[in-house]
Amino acid sequence: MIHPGILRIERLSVAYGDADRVTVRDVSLELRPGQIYGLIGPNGSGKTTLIRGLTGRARAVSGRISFDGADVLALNARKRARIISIVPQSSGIPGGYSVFDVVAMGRTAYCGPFGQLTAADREKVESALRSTRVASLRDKDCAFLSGGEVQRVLIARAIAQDTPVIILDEPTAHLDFRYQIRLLDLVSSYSRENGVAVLLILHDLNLAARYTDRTMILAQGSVVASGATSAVLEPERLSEVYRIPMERIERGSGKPVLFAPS
Amino acid sequence: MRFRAGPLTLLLSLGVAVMLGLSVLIGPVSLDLRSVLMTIGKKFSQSEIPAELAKIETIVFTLRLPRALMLLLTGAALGCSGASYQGLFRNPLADPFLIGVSAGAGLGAVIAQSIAWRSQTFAPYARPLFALGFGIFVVVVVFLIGREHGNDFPANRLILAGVAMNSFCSALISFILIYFRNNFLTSMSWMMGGITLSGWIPVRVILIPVTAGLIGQAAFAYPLNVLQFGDEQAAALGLEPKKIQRRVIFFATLSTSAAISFAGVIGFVGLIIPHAVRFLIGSDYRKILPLSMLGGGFFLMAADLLARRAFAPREFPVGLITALSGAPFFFWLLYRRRAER
Repeated sequence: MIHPGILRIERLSVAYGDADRVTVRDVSLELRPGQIYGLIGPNGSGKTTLIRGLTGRARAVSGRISFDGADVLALNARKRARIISIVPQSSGIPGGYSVFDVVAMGRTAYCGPFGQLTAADREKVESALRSTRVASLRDKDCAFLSGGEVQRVLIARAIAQDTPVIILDEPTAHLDFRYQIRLLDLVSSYSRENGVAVLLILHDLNLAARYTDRTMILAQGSVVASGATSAVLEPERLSEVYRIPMERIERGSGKPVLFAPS
Repeated sequence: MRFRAGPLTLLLSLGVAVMLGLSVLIGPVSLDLRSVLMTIGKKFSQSEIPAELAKIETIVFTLRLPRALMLLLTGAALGCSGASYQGLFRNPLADPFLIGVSAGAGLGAVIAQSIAWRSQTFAPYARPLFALGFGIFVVVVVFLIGREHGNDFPANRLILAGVAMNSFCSALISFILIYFRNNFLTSMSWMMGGITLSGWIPVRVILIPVTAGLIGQAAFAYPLNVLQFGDEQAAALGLEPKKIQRRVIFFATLSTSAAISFAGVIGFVGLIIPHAVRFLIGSDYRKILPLSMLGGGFFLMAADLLARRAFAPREFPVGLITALSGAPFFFWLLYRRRAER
């Protein structure tokens, strides 16, 4: 079972690139077990930079990230990879590796220097393959997978990584509507069943409304709003952030529908 | 993933053994297997070697065997480093020759050779040492210049950086060779990748650096797999990309430059062999690296046999054969790329 804990981001500012320009300012967020957080905002608002800051790939200028009291930024890559896993924006998988090989790479932070898997590692990989329904593809060369399959394999890799926190960077990009829903259904049931905190970067506001418990809006590197999703997704606020008129329809489910009226 | 790695390893090991045998038997003076085996038997049992075998002993132990081992080590070094550089640059064209490391290492070796060392015991060791220094300098430059947006190594940038370093270092090599009036024919054949030295000294000097480099590279085979997904993902999976890249650069350049420092600037082995291996068994560097060592050793011994015997009594540098096979190989590569589209 995954070790539960809270990932606490406190007043984090991140600089990215060669210049010391701070691109994300003063972000605070708490990721709790079994909950799904949405991170939305226009292109270039700093969503991806924020994630790079969480994994030490962009420099945290100030602030603190802790998990269960431990300073995440002070950990080495191997230890950090046991707390946070990342499903990257899909850019394909290099060819010549089987689905099993790729999912097994999720165990990199646990296995030996030659990638040898113990029986326990193998079991984690198998169960990740099953829960993302890619077990039947295990021997297939990743160069020949469809977009939806690639995305599921990358999620399987993150699940095999067995971390209390999973971050997904626009997992639904390039997927048709049916696959978007299926994929996020999968993520959300995995999160609830295993007590994993999920941070979802999304462009689609309705997917955010449907799947996330809490949402943060970033614009130009700063937090515009953060809190319970239905309270954050206010049409006036969204109109201002995206600079187009937005409207909201309430539904009985408590999950609103948002759209830009024609 | 057309083949399994196990049978291929067995096949290539067998090929290496056969080639070692042939390299010893075939030459200007043909030797028969029986008397060679007898000579070796006598040598190792330390019994007296009869007069009629004395000539065979000289041919086998001071000429052909050290040369064959030199070719095996050099081929293994070039094949394996080629694969490592390709993994490091995430680009199938990164070959020690094409990215300029070979010329850089050659420059180092030529400089070391031109210095009048006081100690005769140190002199041969200066060559791989200088070769390593210059080789590392070239890779680091190509690595920094060939990089785009901090992550990718597009083929055109990589090749341009390599061509620049290659021609720069080659020009300096020619300058030094002519300035110090070295034997022109020997220098020429060295530049084209001919093993012009015989005897055990070169083997003894490069054995340790080449082997250490090969073992070092093999130790990073799995991280190289993960690095194919990019630095960002490798870091998220728990590796430290920069640290790995530095070490792979060191070990790959160590074995390449040690080999080049005596064997000369031999091209394309590091391109052809890893490609062939990848074509047969897929992208897992845990299989690619050892198979490229075996394949490189086999290929270079075969090429050398061809270079020396095909036009006998004329002998050609082995680099000529590897360069000749390089061109059609490139065309095949281009053809395959087009077919894949």
